[in-house]
Amino acid sequence: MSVLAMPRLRVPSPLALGGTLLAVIVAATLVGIFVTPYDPTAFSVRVRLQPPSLLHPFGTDEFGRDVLSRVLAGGHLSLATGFGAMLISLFVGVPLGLIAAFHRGIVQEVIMRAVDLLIALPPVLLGLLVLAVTPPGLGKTIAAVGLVYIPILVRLTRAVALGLLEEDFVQAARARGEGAIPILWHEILPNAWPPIIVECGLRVTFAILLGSALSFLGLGPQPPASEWGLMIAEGRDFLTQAPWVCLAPGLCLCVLLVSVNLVGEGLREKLDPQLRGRAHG
Amino acid sequence: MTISRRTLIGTSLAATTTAAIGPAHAAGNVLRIGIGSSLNTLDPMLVTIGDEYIYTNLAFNGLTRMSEDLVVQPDLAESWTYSSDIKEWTFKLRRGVKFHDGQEMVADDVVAFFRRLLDPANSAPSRSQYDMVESVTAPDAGTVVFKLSIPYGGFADILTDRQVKITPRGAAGQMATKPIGTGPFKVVSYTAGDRLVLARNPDYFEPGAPKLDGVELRIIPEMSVKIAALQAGDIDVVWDLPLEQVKPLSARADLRVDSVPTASWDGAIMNNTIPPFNDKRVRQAFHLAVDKKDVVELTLFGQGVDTISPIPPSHPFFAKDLVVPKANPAAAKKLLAEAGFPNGVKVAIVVPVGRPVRERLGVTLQQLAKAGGFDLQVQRVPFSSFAAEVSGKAPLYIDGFFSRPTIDTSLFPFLRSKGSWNDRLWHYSDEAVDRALDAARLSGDPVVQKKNYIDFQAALTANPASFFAYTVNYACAYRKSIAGVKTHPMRWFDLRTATMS
Repeated sequence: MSVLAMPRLRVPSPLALGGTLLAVIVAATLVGIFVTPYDPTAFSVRVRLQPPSLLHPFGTDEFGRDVLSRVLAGGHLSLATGFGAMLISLFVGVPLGLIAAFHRGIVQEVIMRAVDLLIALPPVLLGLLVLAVTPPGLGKTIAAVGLVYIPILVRLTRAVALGLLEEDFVQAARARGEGAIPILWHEILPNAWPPIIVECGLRVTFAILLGSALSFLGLGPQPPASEWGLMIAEGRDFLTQAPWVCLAPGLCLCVLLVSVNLVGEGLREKLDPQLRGRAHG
Repeated sequence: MTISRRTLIGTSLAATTTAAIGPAHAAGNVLRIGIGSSLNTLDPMLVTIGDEYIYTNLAFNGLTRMSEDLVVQPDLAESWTYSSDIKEWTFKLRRGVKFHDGQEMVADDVVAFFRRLLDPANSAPSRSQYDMVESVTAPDAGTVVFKLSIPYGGFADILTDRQVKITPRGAAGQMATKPIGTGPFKVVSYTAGDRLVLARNPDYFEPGAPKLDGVELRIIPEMSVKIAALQAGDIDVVWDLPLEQVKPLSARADLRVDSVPTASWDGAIMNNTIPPFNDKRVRQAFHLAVDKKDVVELTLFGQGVDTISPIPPSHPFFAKDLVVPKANPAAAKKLLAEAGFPNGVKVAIVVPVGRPVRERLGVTLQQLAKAGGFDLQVQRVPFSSFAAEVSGKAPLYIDGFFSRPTIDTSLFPFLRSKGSWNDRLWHYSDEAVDRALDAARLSGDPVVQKKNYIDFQAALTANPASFFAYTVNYACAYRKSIAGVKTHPMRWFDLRTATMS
């Protein structure tokens, strides 16, 4: 009785907290493309491997470059990898999933077996395969990471669509004699969005991590660019002497991932009809 | 009695550390050296990596040896002479030397070893360096005669090589498992991924040596773990210290850090057959664009020396009086314009992932060459695919080579027109360079050799094959309790006089 009577703690909703964090990071990295406290690629022999100070809040790296400036200037590369890859897998995966759900015959078999094949390969290996045959670059990293996550969205979309196809309103549309595209577009897709959007939020996180991993292996953006995974790779030789060179981009990556996850979680609460009632009930 | 969770964790942590590093104190005066990788073979003729060279120089002897100041000294050979045409070399062997199994070392062992080395079926990595050997014979038990197909003045020098170590005849089959040599230490046991244990050879031929009871090569791949073990006293020496650690570790009272010049070099390899570097003026412009002293500071933390060619500035053959044009970005741009690149040159520079110093060199050059009109795009490529995809193909890439035992072997295969490495690097051809390298090889007289090698460096400066950035130092860290060890520029250890307190 008394427990139920206690007032709810005023915790900001995940969506608000994550959204604010994400907005701050996006704004900072967008500004960082153009303006940073120091030139992110300029060497300065006299201040190499300096610990964090007022002049250099995140310290300096092995070339005397300001780590804060580098983190700011390179953040958009990590963000672009995450969101770019998500958009690719979204725009390729969702239509394929819908088609596979609607055409149950040979079309479904071809799509789903191709997806099985892609899923069977470990993500990093698949990314390496794509990048190994061509010179590395940001666009290719985004494409490779996007390719890795297409199968997951195909499967998810198909599963959701299969359930919806059995619903009465879809049967009604069929009875009215509507074609495949109107049914998928007007009946299935609007109802399939919530789980897809939530999944996309998760995929952004994984894509940033995978992009950073590929970068660490030498396949993402190239020096002197300061993509966060690349910064961690370059800084690890100095881990004992100057941990901040790795730590700064690592922590930023961490905060970015948490904020994207919070937004994903918040969206799930907002969009999932079964949770919608409970969230503010 | 109860054990709190914290103690339990503490105990298990301690147990893990001990298992990884080994007992803190080995019995007696046993020197523990931290190395980076497992030995792939114990057969001294087949070794190929620095970690293995340490072992071959402790357990074996060659006919000659090289001191820390790069002077060739007698080892198993007491003395040697060569014929006036420098095609016949006679070595007098030290008598009474015993192998670790008690058998006496005689001339037949030396002959058997060289026959094994020269047999292509055994694919010894250093065989091509001895291509000129026509025959090896033993006129008596204490004399070995080499007949060469060409005059070769540096023959006694190349016998200091780390793979040319005398082993007993008829024992080739057991070298990989139970190796036998004549060296100051003999092999007790080897566990891949853990350690190689060597014990003092009581019958070693030099009286009073070695002073240590034994040596252990501890295999610890992670450098930070090695340094922590050194600081804790779990090992006594860290081999091949990263150059950025030299200054911070030198400050410690319980450690001695040595950083010595070597002939190992890194550079930006330019392909002389592909634009833009097929034009001599573009290669010259690159030298004008970048100040090599800045490169040494930025890439090596000052632990190296700027150089003209693979001949290190510490070597007597270095052309110290040669006037090398100073860095001058404006002049570089002007030269590029003359070569047909008024807007500068834009080209990719491939750097090896997994070779941190060379990666750093690439990033350094990318930044420094900008002012001279070079817009370099860094491309990181795994080092493992260099041999197949990059070497001799990419227009510009970072590579480097470890010291070779003699100046001839460090230059001739690389820069002579038809040299065996030339086509795998820069495809360079220059008449004056060819002439100087040929002439140096034909003389056994250091004065003549020096003149020819100085001519060579002048010719190379006038027509650069590539950008030889620096010769890099080699550093080791020792606990102060270790004495009598000099740091050897060839990156191995001579521990005959080493002591521990």
